[in-house]
Amino acid sequence: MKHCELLQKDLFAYVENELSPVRIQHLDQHISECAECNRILAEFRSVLTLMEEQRSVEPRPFAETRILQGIESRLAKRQKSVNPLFARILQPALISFGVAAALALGFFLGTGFADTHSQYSQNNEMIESVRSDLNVPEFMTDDLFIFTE
Amino acid sequence: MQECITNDRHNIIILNLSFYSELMTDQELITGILNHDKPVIQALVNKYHKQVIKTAFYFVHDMDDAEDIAQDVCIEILEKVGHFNRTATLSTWIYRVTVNKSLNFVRKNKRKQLVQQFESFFYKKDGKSGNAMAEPSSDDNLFENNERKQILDTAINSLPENQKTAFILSKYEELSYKEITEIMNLSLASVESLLQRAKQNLQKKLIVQFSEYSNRK
Ligand SMILES: [Zn+2]
Repeated sequence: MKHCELLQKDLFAYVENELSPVRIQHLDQHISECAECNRILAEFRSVLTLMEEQRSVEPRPFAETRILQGIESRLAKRQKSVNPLFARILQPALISFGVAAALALGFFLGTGFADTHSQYSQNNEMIESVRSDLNVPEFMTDDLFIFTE
Repeated sequence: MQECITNDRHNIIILNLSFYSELMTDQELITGILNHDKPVIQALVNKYHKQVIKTAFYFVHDMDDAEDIAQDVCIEILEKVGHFNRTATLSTWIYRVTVNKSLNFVRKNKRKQLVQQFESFFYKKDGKSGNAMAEPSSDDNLFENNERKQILDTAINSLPENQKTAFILSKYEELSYKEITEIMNLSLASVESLLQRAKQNLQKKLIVQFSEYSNRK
């Protein structure tokens, strides 16, 4: 039992190779003889592998767009008076991300947006459809947003 | 470059945004935000949203919540950039704001999370086999992977805030000790000690879980 406690106290250091060679040898010896420590070590390694896998977690699609939208609407709520400055700053961002979203959407759906001759008017249609899909607020003029909520 | 971006925003900004945001220095980003320069704000979000969402996710384990926190972080950056202490890097400051927002979120939602964990614990047991006690899938693989994930998340959640922060920044975000000292505003010795204690606590909690499981068999 004494040996088990030794391993369990140094599990992290053992797995991360931070112990002295003598100590590692000592623990190796014990692990080869103790089924319980062997099992715990295997589980511990699996958990660390899981942790490593978590490092490559990615934001979901369009997270960036949603964040810009969220910033936009929250700042607008906060400064609801005449022509909020940030609305003017971020509104084009939303349009632009609408274009990006639409382009990506077009790409994913494989509907052949690439063949277009009139990219600009196509873009506007796409902006419109994505804008309604993403519930981007309406805007009245090119530079002003009206927030409906 | 800036002119080109402001003039043809419909087409050029997006295509070049990540290129643009990578090229910008902290100073250019800060000046741009202070001037309410719209492509700069987009560039800021483009450059840092991934870092913020990921870090928040490691604290809260939920993507919806992580995105909400990312919004809060961005708002705070936009509003407080004027007070930003230029001796730190923008990335360090954004990490610090993200950590604080995430810890606040966890504090506020502690009760909600306990209920969810409780529910999912029982849901899993019922859903798997219809029996209260689920069978292990094989001898080599005692835990299912999502069971393992839950054990890990719960163990990390249970760490004291400082230990948890140091651990997440080191083990998940893979930041250097130096970066962690700057983000947490602590000495190198303190960070090392926090990480050491975090590891001790985690292995203790994990071993308890592993042992309980084998006793249940
Ligand atoms: Zn043993």
